Formats: sequence, C-alpha cells, structure tokens
Amino acid sequence: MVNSIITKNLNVYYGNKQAINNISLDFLKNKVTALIGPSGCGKSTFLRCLNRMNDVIDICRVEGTISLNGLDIYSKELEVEHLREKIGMVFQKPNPFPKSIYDNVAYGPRIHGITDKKDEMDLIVETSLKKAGLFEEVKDRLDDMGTSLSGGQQQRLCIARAIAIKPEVILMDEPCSALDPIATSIIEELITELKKSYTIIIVTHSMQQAARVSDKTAFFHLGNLIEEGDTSKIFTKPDHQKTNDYITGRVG
Amino acid sequence: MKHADKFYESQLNTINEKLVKMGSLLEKQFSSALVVLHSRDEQLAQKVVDNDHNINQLNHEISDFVFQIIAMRQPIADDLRFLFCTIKIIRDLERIGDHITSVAKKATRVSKNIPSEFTEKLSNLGKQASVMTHDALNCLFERRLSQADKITKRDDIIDELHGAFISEVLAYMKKNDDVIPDSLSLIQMSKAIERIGDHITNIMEEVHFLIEGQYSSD
Repeated sequence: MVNSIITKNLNVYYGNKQAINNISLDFLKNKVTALIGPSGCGKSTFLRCLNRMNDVIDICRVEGTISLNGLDIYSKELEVEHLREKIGMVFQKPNPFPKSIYDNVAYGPRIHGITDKKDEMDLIVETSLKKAGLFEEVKDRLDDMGTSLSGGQQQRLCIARAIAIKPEVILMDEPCSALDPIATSIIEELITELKKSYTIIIVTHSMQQAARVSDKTAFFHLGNLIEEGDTSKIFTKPDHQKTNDYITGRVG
Repeated sequence: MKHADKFYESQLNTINEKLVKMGSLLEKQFSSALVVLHSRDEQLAQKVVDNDHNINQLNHEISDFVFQIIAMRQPIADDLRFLFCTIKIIRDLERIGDHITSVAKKATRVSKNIPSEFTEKLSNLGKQASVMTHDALNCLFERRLSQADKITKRDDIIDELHGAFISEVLAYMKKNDDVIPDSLSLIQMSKAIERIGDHITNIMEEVHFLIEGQYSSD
C-alpha cells in the first residue's frame, strides 16, 4: 500500500475561526477515500486544501504540510497551475465550459501545453471521454455544446475534462448530489473503474454512496478527524460513538 | 442518542418491543411446560400448544418489519447489526417455542407410573434451560455480555445432564419392554430441552455480534 497524499498536522483558519484542527490523514494510491461528516465539519475545506483552492480566499490560512508523492504542495516554488495538473477536481454541480464537448476536454491539455498536434489532441479527447464512459454517447456530436448534455452526461464530461491532463489524484465534492439515481450509479461505477488509474477522494453526504464506492472512510466532526479506516468497518462497527451516531442519523 | 428521524426511531423501537414480547411469551410458555411435566395437566398443555401460534406470528411480523426497514431505510452500523441479529435470533426463539410445545405435549402422554426421579431430573433439566433462556434474553435486551460465560457453561451442564438422563432411561427400558413408549417420550423431551440450550447458545453468539461487531472467537 503506497500513500499518494500525506497530510500532517493540518490546521486551517478562516480569519480567527479555526475550521480544521490538527488533522493528519493519508490517502492510499489507487483507492477511493470518502470524507463524511455533517455540514460545517470541515470536510470540504479539507478537500479544497488538497489542491490549494483556499489560496484565493484572503482570510484563509493553512498550516501544516500536505505532500503529493513527496512533493510539498504548499511549497512557494510550486505553481498552483502545475499542482492542478496533478490533482483534478469535480464539483457538486456539473460545470462544463460554454464550449463544445471536444473543447471542454481539450481545454486542459491545451493550456498546460501537453500537445498542439491535432491528431494527438483527438486521441486525448477520445481516450478521456472513453475513460469517463461518455464517448459512445457523444462521438457523433463532439462539436455540440457541453451544456447541451444531460446532467449526468455533463458530470461525466467534467470527469473527462479532469482526466484529460492525466492527473494523479481526482477530488470529487459531492459529484452526484445533482444527479438522478441512474446517472448516480453510472458515475459510481465510473469511480470504481477510475481508481485503477487514479487516487480518488470524494466528499459525500450520502452514507450509502460512501459505503458503495469507497475503500476508506474518514469521519469529520467540528473540524476534527474523529475516525478513519476501512469503509466496511466504519459502516458496520465504527470505533467511535460519534461516528456511529452520525452515520445512523442520531442526534441529541 | 435518538435518531433525528422520529419515525425511524419508532420503527426500531417497535422491533425491540416485539422482540421483548416474543421473549416474555416464550418464558411464560416455558414455565407452563415445566408445570405440565409434573401435573400432566392436558388443558394447560393445550394452552401451550395454542400460544405457540402467537410466537410464530411474532416471528413473521418481526421478520416482515425488519425486511421493510432494510429496504426503506438502508440501516448501517449498530442499527444494521441490531436488525441483522434480530432476524437470526427470532428464528432461534421460534424453534425454542416449538421445543417447549413438544415437551408440553409429550408430558401429558407419559403414564404416571414412571419413576418420579425421571420427572424430577427432566424438570431440573428444564429449569436449567429456562434460566439460560431468561439470562440470554436479558443480555440481549440490556446489550451486555457480562453473563455470557455463565450462560455458555449452563449449556455444558445441560448437555451433561441430558447425556446422563438418556443412559438412565435406556437402562430402564432394557429391564422392561412395557416402558418403551414412555421412555421414548422421556428421551424426546430431554432431547428437546437439550436443543433449546443449543438455540440459546446461537442467540448468545448473535448478542456478541450485536455488541462487539464480530462473532466470539470461542
């Protein structure tokens, strides 16, 4: 088992408010890790730290270390664009660019200068769409707008866009919350397929989804990491009462 | 802590209440059957037979309800363990009910001429199993394992008493052909009680899983 991302003593503050309290959590390569916890527990903040999306929030301060295969992602020498080549992200709501299906996928490789040759780009687009399980549905209309696709297809297009630049890690922030059950199950099957090539970290509010797709689960509560471990263990006999209460929907 | 969804909370409580009801009915049946062992009271025996229907009914009710909750609620963690164990435990409880009925029915068929020591020994065996049932149900309802070893040991005692009882009844049969029908009934009753001990052992394994999340290594 090789770790892809190692976070050590991570503390995150929004102004005076501490959102993440000294979390150390590692992510295994080619595994799916689910981050779960109630709203405001810090799971999305944590996820956003992994590709430095908090950089753009002025009042946000990140302490501690995060390394990706030994690379310190908060190193001053590391350009954030370079980091995002390695860590892709898929958001809650599908957000294709207002461009053609083809250009949505080709956008990343183009700006990162991966290739400028037409036939090579065609291959990247086709391979990425195939990996995202979308190619067969769109191969005859690659010039149509990405936004013309259904919600589930748009989300797969976003996944194709993310993998076109061959990242090592894919972050997913509630990728199915806007999708119907069929589109959800297509994405979930895709996640299982994608983990052969990528390390996947997914934030989800659906306990069933976390149970279905992830190998590891980490439970966050009030900015603390309460428990992490094998998903099969967390959902049958978690070690902590707080975890048990949250996943079974108990309050009081 | 209670579930935020009150309806779900009440559904799980209903399952627990039905389980308690099934357990208490069973204990009542058990004490009636032990009375029949001595009294050979046919009316009481018939009551035991009739009441067994209520236990079977509860078995089906709980089973259907658990099935629905699994489908509609997708329970996890301790909720799932509780429902999973309930499904298995009610099956053992239902079988215990059958064995108790069998003891009550057979007790009325045994002639009053059999040596009273046999009735005493059978009654003692029945009491052991009855206490074992009571203790196991307490462990289940109170979610504790402190009595687990004691209960398991009681099953060993029941097995020993049953073995010794069979030997004595066999020796009794060998002396006189006429007592074979009665003796067979005695053996069948003893076997039924011994089986109850086995079902309680199964239940204790489930209680262990319910509390610890894994089966006991013993």
